[in-house]
Amino acid sequence: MVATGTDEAGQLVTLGREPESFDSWYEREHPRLIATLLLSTGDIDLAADGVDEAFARALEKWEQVRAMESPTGWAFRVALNHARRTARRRAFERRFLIRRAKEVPVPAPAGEVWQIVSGLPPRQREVVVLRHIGDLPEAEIAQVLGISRSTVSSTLSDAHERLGQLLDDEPPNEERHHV
Amino acid sequence: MSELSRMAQPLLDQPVAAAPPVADLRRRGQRRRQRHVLGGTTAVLLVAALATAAILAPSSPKPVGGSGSSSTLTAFIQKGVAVSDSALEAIGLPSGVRAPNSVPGGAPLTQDGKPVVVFVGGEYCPYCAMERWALVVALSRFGTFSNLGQTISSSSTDVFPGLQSWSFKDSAFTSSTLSFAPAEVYSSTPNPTGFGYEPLQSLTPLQSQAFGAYGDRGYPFVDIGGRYVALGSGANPGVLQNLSLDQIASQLDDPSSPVAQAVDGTANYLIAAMCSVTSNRAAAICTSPVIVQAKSAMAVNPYQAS
Repeated sequence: MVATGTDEAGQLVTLGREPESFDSWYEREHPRLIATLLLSTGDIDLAADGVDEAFARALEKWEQVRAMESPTGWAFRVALNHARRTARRRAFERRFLIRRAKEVPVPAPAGEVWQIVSGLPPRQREVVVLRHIGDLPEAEIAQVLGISRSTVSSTLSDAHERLGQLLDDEPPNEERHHV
Repeated sequence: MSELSRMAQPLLDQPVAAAPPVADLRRRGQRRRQRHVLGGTTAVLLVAALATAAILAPSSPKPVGGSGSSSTLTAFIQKGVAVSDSALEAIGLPSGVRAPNSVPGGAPLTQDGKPVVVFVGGEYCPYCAMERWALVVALSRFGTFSNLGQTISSSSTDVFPGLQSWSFKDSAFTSSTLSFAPAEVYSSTPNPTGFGYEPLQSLTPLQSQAFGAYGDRGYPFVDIGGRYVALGSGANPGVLQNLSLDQIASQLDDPSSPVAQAVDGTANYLIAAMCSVTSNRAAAICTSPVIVQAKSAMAVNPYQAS
C-alpha cells in the first residue's frame, strides 16, 4: 500500500511506500515459488518442503528479510538449498536402505512444462525455470545460485539452443505497435 | 513473456500446493529452534567431555607433524594415520560407499612434478567432514601431514548439524610421490546477508582447473591426478553425528564399526586411485586385493557429464 499526502499546492503526492506485511508478500509469492521449485526439482514434496522452510525462516526474521534488496530472491535461494539438502539426504538414505525412490508424477497442470524442462541438465533447468517461471532477472538468478552473471547468460543461451522459440521473450505490448 | 512462461501461467493461477496458514509456518520455525537448542546443548556437553578427556589423558601420543598442530587434534589424526592395512582389507568396499568416477582420457593433473590430489570443500559442509577423515587415512599411506591445527564443527543449521572435523586450511603434506592441494573455500560462519557462509580461501589456478571442469558440482570435490574424481562424500556423514573427534578416531581401526566402514571404505577407493596415478610405486598396500578390486570398480564407473 502507498501512503499519500498533499504538498504545499494541495496536490496529492506519494509520501513513501508502507512496509509490506509478511502476509501479503507470502500470499503473492507463494504460487511462484511453488511452481519454480516444482519445475526445478520435479518433486512436489521436495518443492513444498523447501518453500515452506523458506517462508518459515522469512517469517522469523521478516524485518531483516523485508529490508533486503530482493526478499523473493532470498526465499528462492533458501528454498532451493533446502530442497537440495533434502534430496541429497534422501539419496543417501535410499542407498543405505537399498530402497527405491518413490516415483511421483509431476501433478497437472505442471506436467506439460515439466516434460519440456526435464530434458535439460540440472543447472540449465534451474536457470531457465528461475528466469521464465520465477521471473527473476539474470543478476538475481546469479545471486540465488551463487554463480556469476555471465554464467547465467551463457546457460540461458545454451538452453535457448535446445528449446528455441519457447524461450523467446516477446516485446511488451506497446512496442508491438507502430505509433 | 515467453511461450514457456505462458504455458506455466496455470501453475500460478492454480497452485499445485496450497500455502499453509502462517501459524503453521510459525510452528515449523519453533520446531527448528528447538532442534537447534538440543543440538547446541549436545555440542556443549561434547566439548566439555572432550576437554575433560584431554586434561585426563595419561600421555601425549606421537605427533603427526609440524609445530602448528594442537596436540589433542594431532592425537586424533594420528589414529587416522595409524589405521592398519588389515583393517582396510577387512572392511573392503562396503555397499553403502560410493566409488569415485574414473575419468577416461583425463589429462594428468600435476604439481611440483608429481600427481596431485585436489580437495575443494568448506568448513561448514557436513559431507566434507566425512571426506576429510577418508583423505587423511588414504593420504597418510603416501606421505606426512603437518599443521592440521584447527578443529571445526560443520554448520549447526545444515543437514547432519555440528559434525566434528578439522580444517585443511594452512595444513601441509609432504610426500615424494604425491602432492596435495586442499582449499576450504568457505568458513562455518554464516554470512550476515543470510546467503551462505563467509568466504575463506580462493582457489588457485590448479584447483580452478580441476574443479571448474565439473561445472561447480558442490562440495566436497576431490580430483586425483586428473584421472579420478569424487563428487560429494563417499559415505553418509550421518555416522559421525553426535560423536566427538576422539570417538570418531577411536573407531577407525575397528572393522565392525559403522564409522570405520564409512571412513575406511571411502579411503580404500581413494587409496586405489592414488596408487593408480602413482603407478603403484608409492605404497605397499597398492597390491592388496581390496585396492585391486577398488581400481576395477572405478574403471567401470566412468564420469559422465549430466
